[in-house]
Amino acid sequence: MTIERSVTLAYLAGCIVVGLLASRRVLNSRDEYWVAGRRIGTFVNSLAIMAALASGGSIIGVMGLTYAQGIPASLALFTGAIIGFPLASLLVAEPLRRFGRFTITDFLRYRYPHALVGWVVPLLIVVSFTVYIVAQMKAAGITATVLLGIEYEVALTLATLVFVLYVSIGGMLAVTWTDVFQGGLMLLVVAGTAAALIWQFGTPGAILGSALAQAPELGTLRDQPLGSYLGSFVIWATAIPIIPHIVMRVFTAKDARGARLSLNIAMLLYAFMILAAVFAIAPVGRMRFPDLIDADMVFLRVMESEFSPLFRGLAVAAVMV
Amino acid sequence: MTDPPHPRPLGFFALPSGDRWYLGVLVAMAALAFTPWSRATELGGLPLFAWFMTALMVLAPAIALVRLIGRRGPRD
Repeated sequence: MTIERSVTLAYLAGCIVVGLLASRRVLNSRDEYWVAGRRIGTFVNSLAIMAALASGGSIIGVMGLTYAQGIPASLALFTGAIIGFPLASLLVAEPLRRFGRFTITDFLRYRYPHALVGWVVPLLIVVSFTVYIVAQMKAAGITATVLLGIEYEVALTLATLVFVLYVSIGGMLAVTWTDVFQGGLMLLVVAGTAAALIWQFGTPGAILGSALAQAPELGTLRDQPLGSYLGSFVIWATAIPIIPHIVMRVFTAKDARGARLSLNIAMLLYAFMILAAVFAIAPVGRMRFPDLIDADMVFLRVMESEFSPLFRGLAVAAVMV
Repeated sequence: MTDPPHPRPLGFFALPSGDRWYLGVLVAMAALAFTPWSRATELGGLPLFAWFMTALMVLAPAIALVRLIGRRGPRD
């Protein structure tokens, strides 16, 4: 078995172990199961929030979008996402944390007491998040295919099974523990990749200059309607304050102030990752692999060509689950 | 579990003035980024739009964090 596969399988096994350990604590406690006992510390919650948003879709997607549509398009979308967090902090965190229930549906049913709310809200969440999760699962699938040589369908199935297992048995406590680890891993992988590329190719300014000299379209606003840039910015800025897997982190915080601090710390960490991806990793990928048919492959190609099997295994673990 | 007091519907201006100013600055900066001037003017090979977005990406959470840390009051 290759080093990459060993690291990835160890990580997946670790997620299941975390789920089993958490299941002992959540077995007889609704608070522990649904909201991790409402006692997650500020920095731990920050990592978990960052990991909840910075999924495989973010890591793979930000570089693929930069490669295909240019730096401005990427920044429009991801800046919108980051802006959404201060908005959530101001508008959503305090009332939700003080509400003291378990889910967004609970809150909306209480705020708008009508029988339909209890049906429509969960249905909307399930439908919209099925679409959202497709991007994450694609990222997991192609990462495992390229870096581990596993068939796409096998990788998808494996990642899905592991995820469903540890979440269903360990609840939000398991999700928090794995998110914290995964958040740290993502930061390590993206920061490590950017640092190594900067060491090899020069400062971010030099990398950007070289990439723009070779591919000027990387820096341009493409011939698309303003609405496409504005739309992606506004959609993400307004979606983040209501996205369930982010907002649920508010319920897990110790108090409202902790919830608000966590949201903003998480976004600084996320901003760092996005900027490293947009200004270092994607431009190098664009220079090294100018003819990719699938732009989402750029990060994986950079990992394949520049990094050791151990680091590639960590990258797969960071993206997969 | 008993229900909390039913939330009194709050208007937008129930936000503290500092938060309203902060939101206003964010909106103004975003609006400036999307102007034709910002999209057409280049700096370092990128449109100003890209630099405004980068600044927003960093400043929005950073300023919110500084304001939160400096704020006194009940934690919950």
